[in-house]
Amino acid sequence: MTSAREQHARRLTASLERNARDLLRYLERRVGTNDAADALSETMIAAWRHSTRLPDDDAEARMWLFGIARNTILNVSRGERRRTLLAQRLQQSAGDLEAPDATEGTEIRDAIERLSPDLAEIIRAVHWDGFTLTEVSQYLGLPASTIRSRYARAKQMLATTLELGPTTTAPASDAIPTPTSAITRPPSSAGRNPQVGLMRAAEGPAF
Amino acid sequence: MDDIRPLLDDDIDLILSRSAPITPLALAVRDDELQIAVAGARLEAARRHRHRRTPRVAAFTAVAVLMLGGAGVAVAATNESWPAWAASPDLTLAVTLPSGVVCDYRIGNLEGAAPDISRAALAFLAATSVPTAEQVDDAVVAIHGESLAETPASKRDDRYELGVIQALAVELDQALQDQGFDAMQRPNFEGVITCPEVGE
Repeated sequence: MTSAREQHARRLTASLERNARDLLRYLERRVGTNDAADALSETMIAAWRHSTRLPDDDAEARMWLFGIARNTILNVSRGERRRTLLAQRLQQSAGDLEAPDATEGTEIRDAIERLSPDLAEIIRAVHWDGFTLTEVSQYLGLPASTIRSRYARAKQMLATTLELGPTTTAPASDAIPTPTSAITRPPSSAGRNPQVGLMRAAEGPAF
Repeated sequence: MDDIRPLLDDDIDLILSRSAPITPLALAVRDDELQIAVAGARLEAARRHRHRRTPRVAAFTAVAVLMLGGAGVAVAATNESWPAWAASPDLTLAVTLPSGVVCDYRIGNLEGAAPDISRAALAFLAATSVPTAEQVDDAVVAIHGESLAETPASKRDDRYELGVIQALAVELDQALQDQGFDAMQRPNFEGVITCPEVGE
């Protein structure tokens, strides 16, 4: 007979294995290729440390993991990340990686960077990672209405910063863009109609 | 005069989406390595928890040094040739002996166990790091019946050198047991320890 602890461990193993690549992609876009393996390693370790809080629902579990990834980035600044052998192995297994073109999209990324951190994260989550606003609200632990208004504000500010004129985004709209071929939508979000409907408590992810 | 048209939502969406940094690591990393990372993270989380809870890990399997290697632990001089697997070991550690000499430990060539326990062992190796001096001292006591402080100075390095392997074996046993495996069924490993000659 399998113990409750082992059942829990199996669920977290399955959830982590299902989401590991998306988590790595999420982290790589935020901390860079060199630190992403370490950040993933720390994210996974934190998930195991708090495994009893893994939500039962798969989609919620996924967002819970992204909440941990987000906190990992916030808690450990770049360069201070613990260099684990685990991360070293992951990095080495990928072989020699081609250096990304650092210049492409720099201006836009800089403009996003100049937003306040919470606004920037919403923009990145929607446009880089393909999250719906509902998903963003879940992993940031904020009400969907807050995410929606911040998203509209962030886009307005970016349009101004980039001197492209005002956007026609209606603040009340729930719609978020269909990702273009430039980004890869995480599998669980694929093809879903973005909607802001589900709400979570207005506090941070519980871990 | 330039006409600045209001930016349509589609325009800025496209611009923002195209600004996503590329992710070569996430594209290149293999699924099996991600699975090992998941299992390794579990072990690392348990290890950090144990170290916080009990600073000293009791060593209780005196014969683990021999068991770990299966084929034994080869102590090689730097000019001797390594076995082929040692070029890409599963674990590499730089261990500082009591004298200050730094030795290179390479462990790998796992074989002789069921795939699930081998994978768990591999994950352990991926997550583990140099045992603490306390862990090694516990291991030395378990093997020789006396601590490093009680060991004659001329023998300290030798005992410490293999005590490291014993400490790793104890940790591996614990990690496998935590996951419900029978530690006796673990795979055989090989190890190569390379230390500079005294005076080098």
